Amino acid sequence: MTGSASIDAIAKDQPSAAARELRAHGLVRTYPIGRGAFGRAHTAVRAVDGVDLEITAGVTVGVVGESGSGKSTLGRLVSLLERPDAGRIVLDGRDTGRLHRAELQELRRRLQVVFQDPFGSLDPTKSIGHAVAEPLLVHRRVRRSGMATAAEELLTTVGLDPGLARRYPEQLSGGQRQRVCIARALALEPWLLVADEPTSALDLSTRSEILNLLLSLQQDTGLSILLISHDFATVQHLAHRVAVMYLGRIVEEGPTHDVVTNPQHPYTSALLSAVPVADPPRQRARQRVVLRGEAPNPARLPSGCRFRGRCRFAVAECATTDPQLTDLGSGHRVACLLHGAVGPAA
Amino acid sequence: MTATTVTAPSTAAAAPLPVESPWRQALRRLLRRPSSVVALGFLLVLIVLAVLAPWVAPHDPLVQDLESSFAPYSAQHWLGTDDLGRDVASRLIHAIRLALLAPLISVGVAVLLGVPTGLWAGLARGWVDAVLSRLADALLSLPGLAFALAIIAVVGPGLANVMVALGIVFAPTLFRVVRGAAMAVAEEPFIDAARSIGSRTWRILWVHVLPNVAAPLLVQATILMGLALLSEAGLSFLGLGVQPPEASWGSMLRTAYDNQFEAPLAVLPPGIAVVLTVLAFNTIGDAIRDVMTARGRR
Repeated sequence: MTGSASIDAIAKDQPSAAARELRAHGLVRTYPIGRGAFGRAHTAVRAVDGVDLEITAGVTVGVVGESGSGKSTLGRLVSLLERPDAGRIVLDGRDTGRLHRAELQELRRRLQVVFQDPFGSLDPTKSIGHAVAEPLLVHRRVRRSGMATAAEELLTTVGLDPGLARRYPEQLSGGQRQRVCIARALALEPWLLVADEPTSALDLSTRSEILNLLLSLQQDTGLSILLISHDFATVQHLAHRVAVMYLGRIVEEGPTHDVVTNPQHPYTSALLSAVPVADPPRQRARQRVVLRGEAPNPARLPSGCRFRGRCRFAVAECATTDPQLTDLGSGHRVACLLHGAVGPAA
Repeated sequence: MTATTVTAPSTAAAAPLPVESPWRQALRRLLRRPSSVVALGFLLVLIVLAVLAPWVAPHDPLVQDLESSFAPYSAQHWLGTDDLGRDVASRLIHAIRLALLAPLISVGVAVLLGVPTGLWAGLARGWVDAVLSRLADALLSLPGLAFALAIIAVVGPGLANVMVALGIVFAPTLFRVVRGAAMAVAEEPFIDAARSIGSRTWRILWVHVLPNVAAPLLVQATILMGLALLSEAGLSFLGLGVQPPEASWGSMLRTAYDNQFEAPLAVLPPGIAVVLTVLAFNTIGDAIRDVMTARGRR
């Protein structure tokens, strides 16, 4: 870590408001599942298979999908923790695939991550204060002697007692730990927070506390959040826009209100109907859309539309055409032949 | 910070709970075990004796007195004398220095060689791991003492050479232990978290991986200390370690062995010293394992 390099980097890219933008184009990430005699992969799963994503300052984007839909992989790609096999991620106007390691490290502070598991994402051998202020130390924003003060300030930001700085992760509850993780993510003042299932490891009451914390951060500081969740209710609570993923693809994307009140893709309808309504008579009267079967093996995708095997409206054409996202107007896009989507013949 | 305060800290008034780092906790647990206290105490006594040897030892360990060779235990010669009439007790006390220095050097060399490579291989995997692991396998496939003998054959006998040779022999063992533990730690989300805040690889290895593999590393290193002492004694017994007239427990055993018919009890002092010290190392190793794996995680 050379001092001069980081100083240069700070000087040349003070993020202007216009630069705060993340664009992902055609992201593909495959994982090998079978290996031949010489360790060469002969079968691969396309966990993320051609995803475009756009996040601008102050906008929270939710990504919803069932397990195995590739939403977490998408999160890891966007977090710059893994490199895509194809496609590119442009963060604040800079193509992350072409940057040198040092430049990439510097760019990372624009975008910070909150992980799913608050128990595993804190080093058990480090005090809370160290965990929270470490990003500042790494980026030479504070000296070691200034860590304690910085940590206490950050802990206050997320509503924790600054006295916790001297404790160790094992002495904290799950909710406290997740707040610590959020404080760590905020240390470098990123404009974008990638939160992969930030509440799924927490109990219900803590869950809403964490979501409200994220909500107030979003409202008070204009933080953008990429919120990844299997739970539509969680995403609805926070996201301005929502993207629904199925087997590595985004099948529907649009303003949250539009998507929730007027879902176009049959899969979105099914997901939404799984969200309980907080009104017993209405909940009882609701028509649930229950999906048949399970998601197909991602290593052997069906021809045409990936969802056709479980779709109530599947027609013959679905087997031959792979529908692409098509704009229905007002930024609401859907990948389904029912809504005029077209695509290459499979 | 530009971020705003969400809720005021309301729990500030509560009495602060005792804060204890995991290290301190482990040390406290270690000192609660009678066996490890005895073993640590024994090593402490050895260290004190080693430092104070010139003042504590009743005689000069190198002064010969052929008139009174093979003297029995007596008030003047607590543990008798050897074939050249040198005081055994004094030689034993002076040899503590070597007995402690030898394991330190060889385990130090092994740590320097094995730990950084093990950490790197465990985190990086891929070709780094493949190359380093094959190298370790190659070293492990050689019989340790024979390999040390070969190194001595090339560079010549002498304590320093022996210990460095042993260090090289021990390195792959430490490499294996550290690599395996580091691989497990590398899967933990806090390693991803460290990456996402922009930490370089060396920082992740040093700050986050090393402390989390400390338990198996310390256990293995302590046990290797005992093994190093034993190997040093063995090589000195064969005349490849420390050179006369200097004393080591191994060379004293050799002297006793050569003269077993004149002085059958002479093997006891150096023999018992070696056994007790190795036992102390192993006891501490076991205690560290128990104490550090019992650490409350999750």
